[in-house]
Amino acid sequence: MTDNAFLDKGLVLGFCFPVDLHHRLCRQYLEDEAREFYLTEDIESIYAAKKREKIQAHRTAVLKHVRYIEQNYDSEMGPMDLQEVRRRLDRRSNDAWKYLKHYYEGKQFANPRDVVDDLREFARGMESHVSSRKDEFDELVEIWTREEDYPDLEESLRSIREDKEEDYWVCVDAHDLGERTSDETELATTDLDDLANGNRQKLIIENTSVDSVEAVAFTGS
Amino acid sequence: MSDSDGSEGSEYNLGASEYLIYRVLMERREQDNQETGRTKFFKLSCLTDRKLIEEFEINIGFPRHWYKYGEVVEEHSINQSVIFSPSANHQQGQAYYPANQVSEADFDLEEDLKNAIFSAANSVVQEHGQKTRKQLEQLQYREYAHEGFIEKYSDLRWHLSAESQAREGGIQSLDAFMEGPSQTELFLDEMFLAYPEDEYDELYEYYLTWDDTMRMLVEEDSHPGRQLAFLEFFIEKLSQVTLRFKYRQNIPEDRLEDWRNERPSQIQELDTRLESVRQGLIDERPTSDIFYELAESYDEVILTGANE
Repeated sequence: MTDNAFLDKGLVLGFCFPVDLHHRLCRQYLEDEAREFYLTEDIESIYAAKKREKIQAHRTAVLKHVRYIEQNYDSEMGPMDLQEVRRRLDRRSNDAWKYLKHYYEGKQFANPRDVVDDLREFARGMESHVSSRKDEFDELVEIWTREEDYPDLEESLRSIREDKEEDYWVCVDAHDLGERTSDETELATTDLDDLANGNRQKLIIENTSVDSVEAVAFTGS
Repeated sequence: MSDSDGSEGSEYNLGASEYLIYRVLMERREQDNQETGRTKFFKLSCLTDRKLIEEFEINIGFPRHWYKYGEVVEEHSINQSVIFSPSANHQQGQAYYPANQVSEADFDLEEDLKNAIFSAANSVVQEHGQKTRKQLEQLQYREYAHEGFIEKYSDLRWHLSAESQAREGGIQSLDAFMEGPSQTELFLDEMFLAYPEDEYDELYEYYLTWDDTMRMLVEEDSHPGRQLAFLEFFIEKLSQVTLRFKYRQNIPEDRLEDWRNERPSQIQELDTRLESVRQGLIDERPTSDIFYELAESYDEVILTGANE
């Protein structure tokens, strides 16, 4: 049994952003009461920056579409109008097209006022969803502050460092947790291809006080 | 010697722009015993310059630009020695008077030019000198607003200012009697349609966030004074980042350079405050049903790049 788990950024992102699928895996992992979960301030900052970037991008995409509707429709939208809107979404390169298209699915008629209200509520919902998930997440984890740099790891984990500096520091942080706590330490990551691939797992377990690397990820295959 | 750009001349280094200001302030002093506040001083000076250009066909290179609710004088580019500006007694800020140590003889300008400025200042002050600050602002943005958007936000500002006073006085606001969307929402809708995204592209995405956040403030019936402050905050940033660059005359290069250097921090301030006001409002709301209805396709999108 593992007693301490160090979380990489994928777990906080996976817990807070998606509504289902990936979220469920992260929640399952974090709801194991036999463990203590840790992450660093660095991971918190990465999360905050990522959240800002994602939220702003999606919010803007939705609101630009809202403006398009406001500018082009002032009376009931019929099947032809809705078809035109869908066609327009198909041509869009922004990410919001999928859920916006989903929104129009099956609609034959729509009042533009309602569309605008719905989509504004969607954008706000996206943000409140992430906020409330993050509050839940914060209840489940503790902040870990590393005290040393462990320069010895630089050589043994060189390949990780050369590949992705950020991953290297996640390993150093997890190692510090292992060094300074008495029980077993697990590194939990959603990064199947990097930290959790077979070679990397072995490298980490052999060279640090991390006892196991757990891939918490929805593979889809 | 003749000098129209104020670069050389009398011991005070006074040119045509300084003379314009001096005459406006002299005319105001002679007109009544009322104080001339900063806004009024700006508006009357800009109107005088416009009159010179439009009616006298004389361009003296007067430095002015659009800022928030109308045109202002770019004071840094003008020799301040013609102005005496103590704290105002009857209003906030400063009162503007002509400086006592300056006289007509200090302006070494061609007689024709002096006469034109004299007469333009006289005519503008006669016509507008006794108007209130609000009347002057309204005159300016109705006559000279460069974009419909500017006119719309100014309308919203007057509306919110009246709503705010009504709320303070315990009077039911106009909006409370409206069926359907409130007057505030109607103004927001007009602004939303009018925003010139190609012209004011730098703040377009911030504007979309501001607009939606403002609507949340309205929906939760926050104090109109808070809504007004949130509007003024956005307009100030828009002015600093965009409007004063777009609508300007005779701003010296070193001043423009200062403005350019200030831009990144102004955008940062805008971003930070927008996100923080919005977060506060978001935290008060339950997540909408419509969000969960579309969750499946939202998840497909949001997960791409989750591990970047």
